[in-house]
Amino acid sequence: MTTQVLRGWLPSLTTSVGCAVGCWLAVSQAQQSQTQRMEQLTDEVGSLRQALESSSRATGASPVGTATLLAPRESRLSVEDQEAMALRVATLLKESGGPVVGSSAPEAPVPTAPEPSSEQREAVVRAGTMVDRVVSSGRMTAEDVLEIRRELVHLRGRPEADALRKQLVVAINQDRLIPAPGFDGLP
Amino acid sequence: MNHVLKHAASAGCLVTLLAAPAVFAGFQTESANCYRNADGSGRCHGSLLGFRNHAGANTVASFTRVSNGAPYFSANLTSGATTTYYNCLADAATEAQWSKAMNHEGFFSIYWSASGECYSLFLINGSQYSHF
Repeated sequence: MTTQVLRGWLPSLTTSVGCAVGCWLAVSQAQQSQTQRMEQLTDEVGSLRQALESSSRATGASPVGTATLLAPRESRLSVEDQEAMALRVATLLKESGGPVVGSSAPEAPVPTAPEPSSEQREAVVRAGTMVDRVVSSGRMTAEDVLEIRRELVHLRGRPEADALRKQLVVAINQDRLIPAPGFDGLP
Repeated sequence: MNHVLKHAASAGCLVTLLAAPAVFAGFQTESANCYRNADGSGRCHGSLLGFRNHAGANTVASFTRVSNGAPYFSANLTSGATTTYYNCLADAATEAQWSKAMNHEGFFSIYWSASGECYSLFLINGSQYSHF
């Protein structure tokens, strides 16, 4: 009876044990490979971090986003996180052509206005004279505003126009210029 | 006679209801405030409705856009017999928000520097600021 039972169960038992051992081996192999990959990525991130830090020490600037991009080795990050970080740092390095530092960020060129025409230069002189007169008188009437506005039409979009208007604004804010009743806005 | 009385009572109720002032529920607030520092820099805040309903006869605030230069903010605030004037020209970042300010009916807060540049514009739209 016992022999018959053993004969019936033995193949199943052997198969089960074999499967279990096989699964254990596969899982441990995968874990080992994952651990190796994480170690490798951690080393890569660490070397990139060192490169950034040494570069920032050399330039006196702080690395951009290192606090959020790079984490200490002992922090528990997933493989995906490590890969994302490494990819991000590599992209930044590639884009900048070297280690990323704050001071090396390219600055947008400041647009400059074209040279004023002779007519515009004359308008600047006339409007400037009017603004000076108004500020020195300490009062600005609606007629003054219209007169200056007529000259500023020739300076549409030019920095000289805003500079002249700003003179009036500052004078008003400093109580050196009082708009008269009926004042209807700036020139 | 009773019939006539009932009709008269109904008509009286209807007239009373129509004559009753509208009651607005919900929180409402309006304000108008400005200050300036010694160097001319300063801030105005409140709502356009608050400036309109301010006790000062010459109190006014406006956001203006012009074709010949930067848009500007201007306000007069009258307290007693004194009216104080506040102005600034929008810098590039603030100018980008100007179209919103032009149509704004809620709370605003605008700061300017000593050089007369509006450098910060803060806008809140809320049920408490306007009838919309």
